[in-house]
Amino acid sequence: MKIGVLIKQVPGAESALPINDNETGIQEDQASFLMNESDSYALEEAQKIIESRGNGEVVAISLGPDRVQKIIREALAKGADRGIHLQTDAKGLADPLTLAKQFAKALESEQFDLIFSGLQSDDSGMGQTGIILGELLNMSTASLVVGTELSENTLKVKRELEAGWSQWVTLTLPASISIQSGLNQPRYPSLKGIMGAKKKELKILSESEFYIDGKKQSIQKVFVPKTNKKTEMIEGEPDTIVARLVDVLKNEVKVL
Amino acid sequence: MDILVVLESKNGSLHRMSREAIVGAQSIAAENGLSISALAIGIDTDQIASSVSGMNLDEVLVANHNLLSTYSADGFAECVKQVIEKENPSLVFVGHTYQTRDYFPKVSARIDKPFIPDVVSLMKEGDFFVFTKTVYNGKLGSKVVSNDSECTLISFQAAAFSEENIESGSASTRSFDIELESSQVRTSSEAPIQEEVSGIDLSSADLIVSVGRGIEKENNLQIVKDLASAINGELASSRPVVDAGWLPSSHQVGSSGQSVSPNLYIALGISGAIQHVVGMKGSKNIIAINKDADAPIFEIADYGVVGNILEIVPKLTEAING
Amino acid sequence: MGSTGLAWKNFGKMFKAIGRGSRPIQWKETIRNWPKGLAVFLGQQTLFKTRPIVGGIHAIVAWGFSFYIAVNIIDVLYGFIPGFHFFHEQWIGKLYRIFVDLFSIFVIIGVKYFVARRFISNDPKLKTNDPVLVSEAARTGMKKDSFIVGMFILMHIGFRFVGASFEIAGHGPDPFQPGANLLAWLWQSFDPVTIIYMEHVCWWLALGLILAFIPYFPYSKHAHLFMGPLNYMAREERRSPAVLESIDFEDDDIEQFGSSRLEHLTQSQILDAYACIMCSRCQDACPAYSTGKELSPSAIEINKRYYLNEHLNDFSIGKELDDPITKWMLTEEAAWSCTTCGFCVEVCPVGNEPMVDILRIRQDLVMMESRFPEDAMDAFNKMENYGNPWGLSPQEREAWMEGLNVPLMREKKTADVLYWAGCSGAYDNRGKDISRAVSQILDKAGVDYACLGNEEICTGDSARRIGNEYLFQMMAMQNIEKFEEYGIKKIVTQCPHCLTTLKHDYAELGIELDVVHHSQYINDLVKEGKISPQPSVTEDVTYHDACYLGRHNGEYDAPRELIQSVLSEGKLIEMERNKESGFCCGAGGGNMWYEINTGDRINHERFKEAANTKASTVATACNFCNIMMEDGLKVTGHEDNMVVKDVAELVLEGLNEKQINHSS
Repeated sequence: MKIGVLIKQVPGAESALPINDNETGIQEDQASFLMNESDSYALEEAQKIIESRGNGEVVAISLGPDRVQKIIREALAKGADRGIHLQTDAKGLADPLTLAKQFAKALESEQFDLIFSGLQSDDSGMGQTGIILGELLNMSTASLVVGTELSENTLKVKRELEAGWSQWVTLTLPASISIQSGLNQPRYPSLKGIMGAKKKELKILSESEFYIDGKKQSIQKVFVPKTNKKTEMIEGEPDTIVARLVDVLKNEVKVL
Repeated sequence: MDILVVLESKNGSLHRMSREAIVGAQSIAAENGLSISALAIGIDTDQIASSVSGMNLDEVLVANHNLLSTYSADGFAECVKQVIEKENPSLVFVGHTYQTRDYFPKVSARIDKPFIPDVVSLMKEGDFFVFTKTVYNGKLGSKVVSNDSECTLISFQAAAFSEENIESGSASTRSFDIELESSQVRTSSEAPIQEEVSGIDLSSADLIVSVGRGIEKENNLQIVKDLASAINGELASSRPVVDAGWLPSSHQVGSSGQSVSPNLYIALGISGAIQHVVGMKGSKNIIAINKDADAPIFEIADYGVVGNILEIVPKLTEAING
Repeated sequence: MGSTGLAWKNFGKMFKAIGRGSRPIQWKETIRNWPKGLAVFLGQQTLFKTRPIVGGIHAIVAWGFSFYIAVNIIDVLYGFIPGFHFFHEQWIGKLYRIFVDLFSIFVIIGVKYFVARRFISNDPKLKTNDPVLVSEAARTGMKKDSFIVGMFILMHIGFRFVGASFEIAGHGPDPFQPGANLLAWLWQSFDPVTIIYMEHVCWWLALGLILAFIPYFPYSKHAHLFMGPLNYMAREERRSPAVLESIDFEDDDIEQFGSSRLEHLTQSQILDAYACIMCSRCQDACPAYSTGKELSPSAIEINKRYYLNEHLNDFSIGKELDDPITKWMLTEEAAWSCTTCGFCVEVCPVGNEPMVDILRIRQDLVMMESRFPEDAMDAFNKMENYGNPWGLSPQEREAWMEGLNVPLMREKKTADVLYWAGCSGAYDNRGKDISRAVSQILDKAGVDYACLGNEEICTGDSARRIGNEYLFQMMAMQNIEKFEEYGIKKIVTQCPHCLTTLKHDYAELGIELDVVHHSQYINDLVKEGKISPQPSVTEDVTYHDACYLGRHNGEYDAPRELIQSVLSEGKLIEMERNKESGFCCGAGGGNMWYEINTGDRINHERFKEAANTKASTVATACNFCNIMMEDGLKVTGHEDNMVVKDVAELVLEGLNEKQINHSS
């Protein structure tokens, strides 16, 4: 049982996000990078499945510049068996279709039984790469997964639906699923894990081994949304205040 | 057809976000001379077809197949692919729902065309459409363009367009034949289930009414609970309220409590100390009421009231209920 | 003979058990330290830190007992050498006999007092409440042991005393043994043979009891007699109470980090269990225990001792005992409840360090077993991803500098002293106020300083105290690199945790820094006349000692002197638990970042104590204390009549400077 987990290194929720000079992205040297949140849940889920089976391997895969090796090592420390780094210094928020093709080219020979990815990345938030990759590799797919049950020939997943509903779906193998945050408790690497990670295989693929030209969609510009935090202080008599609040709730926040 | 709007059913009728997607199509159709068609797939197609028949569209395609009578990612993706290949729309619009997030990436892969998700607005710039979507979890905005002139898939964020703006007219209905083998549908689903919520999971709540020390006494909590009921929100608190034993710790928001990011966070009598703020600064809209004008909560609030919550909150609840 | 053989065997087992531990005691060094041991033994000063009355009574018992060693030797000689008397006619002999007589009486009274305290009046301080884990063996064993020891002392001294009185009955009254004289009166009517017979019986019983008791020592808390002083002699040198030795992660031979079983504890810690007198002074002192948590430092040592007693045979011959510590010594929750305040180490009369046991257990739980509070994991992840436990962007570390002209190291390149604001000083609103106050004071005094600003990352104190040695080292190395880059030698900081870590923990990693607390630095500025705060505070102030400034770094005076310098009509009022006895605010040892929900909140306890002084200002010298005390202020409803201020803020007010508030 071989599970490939796609992990992405993204700026954290509290990271500074200053826009770069040509307004196509952020100034990376001021950002605080970490493993994408839903990816860490995907990694934990893969780890749990392999541990409960007692055999198999988890392979952590990431695409990006040298700094992404930090999260691959983190995955190895958390128990992944080996890592693959698709090395590229290409900048900017990418196009999921092209990304998926690059992953397909690099990983096809691995013949993964399962590919796990996080639901969407905390930078571009496209939420597609894992699913498209599954399509390209002829795997069945499901997204918004909040639970898994692997048996001999099938994978049962619990999909999150709107308004507190969910649904169990059975998929044929091989399958590629994108995983929602919260379905498990990502572990903290033990010291043994951290030490052991240094000795595990981290294969680096150069661009020539996976690069695919072309971008199906591109970001023209990144900007700070104009509605910056300007606090509207509501003043006056209580009745006036209440009236304005109801107005806000109804027409601006739209919860009434 | 120029624009294809793929419709979704919800509880037997047309999903609100499909309606919004139609409005989105209508907003650019006239001035750009584009025709609009809609597609109803498999489930409740009669009801859906009839509900759009009174809208300003060219036609609604109905794709029925025994393998499409329930939702499957493979089935629906294959259906949309076949429609696109036959009808050649340059734009395909959908609402950004749990369902489209599941199968539209597959469509993108099968036809090798880009899918731009969660769009909040679109504009024509020269010959191209420029789509606006948020990135970095809503902290920044981006302008995205498609590099494929043949076909681009787009999903719209909820309330990007308002269904109130829908243009009426008349649309004809046409059947569309889908070729689908059971071997192409690699999943099978069980009936949807609704979760028993044990304990409070504030992290997924959309609307939170939170109370702090400013409530002064345990008895006063009722006014906050009443407000929460009135707007259908979850009840939360800062640490001192939990420490005092007035609410169980499952309600606590903060660095040693839950992290929340609701659409609306109402902070009542909460000073906004950093231990609390780190747990809720991801909220999209923050309304704060506190009697201290210097309370740090006002630095992050969208709307602030310097006043006595014991006075204002009951009045607010009354006005909402009234 | 039998007694000697058995004693030798048992003592051997005890020392072999100690030898099973890690970090071998340097015995040569230890023996060279004999003056330390003797001083503690004779001086008894370690008992007076708390419970002075009990301490006084014990001192008498202890001196009496010491004296009795000489007595026993002389008695043996008396018994075996015919005609031997210890300087019977000379003054030294007379003095000797008076002391023997008086001590016998006092010791008997003293021990009776102790026995009454434990068995009759059931002093609650000698008990350990639920929910603390106390092993069954300990529960029953302690009572038994106290009883045996009490009875032994009473009977040994009692019989000797009675024996002396029989001797007097036989040989005539002795003015230098008034007590025995009095008792001899009872035997007046006895016939001479019975008298001699009784004298011999008493002699044999008195000395026999000792022989019987000696082999029992290793199983009894009475071993503290010599193990206590030995503990002081063998004690590991430590730069500060919570600073452990560094771990070399490059060493592939290390298989165990921290302690999960008895043999993982250091030899010194196993020796602690033998030194423990089970007085529970440490338990009294513990802020976690007094607020109803599962932690009791005395239970730790007592459980350890009884486990050793129970398994001494196996353990001393090298058998592996795989019972996890968290099942018999203290619970995991107890380990997390510790705030590392250091009070238990401070008050222990025999030099035990229960806090060190806890720190080593935490190392195992974090690094080997990956089992620790979830919020602690969040704190680790935040430190790793953002360089601070608040989880806020490093780019925001300079926000407090707005409106001030704070010199930055990266621009200034060099300065006499580095002002280290720390994480709370950069991210917490009140912490920012304190940073602003400090920098304004430094400016006013014309100090040549600079700040690292965004180049600071957390010192790693929280990571280290929670037990994540690896994360701590990673963060430390990053800071050390920065310090070396700028050639930084002297640092002033407002955070006692940063103070301790930069000064002591970092030294373990190879960099010696001259680090002072802002209260010390500012106090020096005042003494040098660089700034002159004017007395202006008209209401009373009480000062809450920060554990990491006080017990961990020995500074109690500088903050007080600063407060005094700004008081006009107001007075500095001390809380009952102050200076070395200061009660923790509850945030140390990682407790700032996670909650222990059992029992009451430590900071609420402490704030009530502050409020009871009737002072209107609670002065603090630590960011964490400030946050905790302000929280306590709000919860106890004192917002309208009390404030919490850092000493720097008080000084700034005394300089008639308005705090420049950052814009909203």
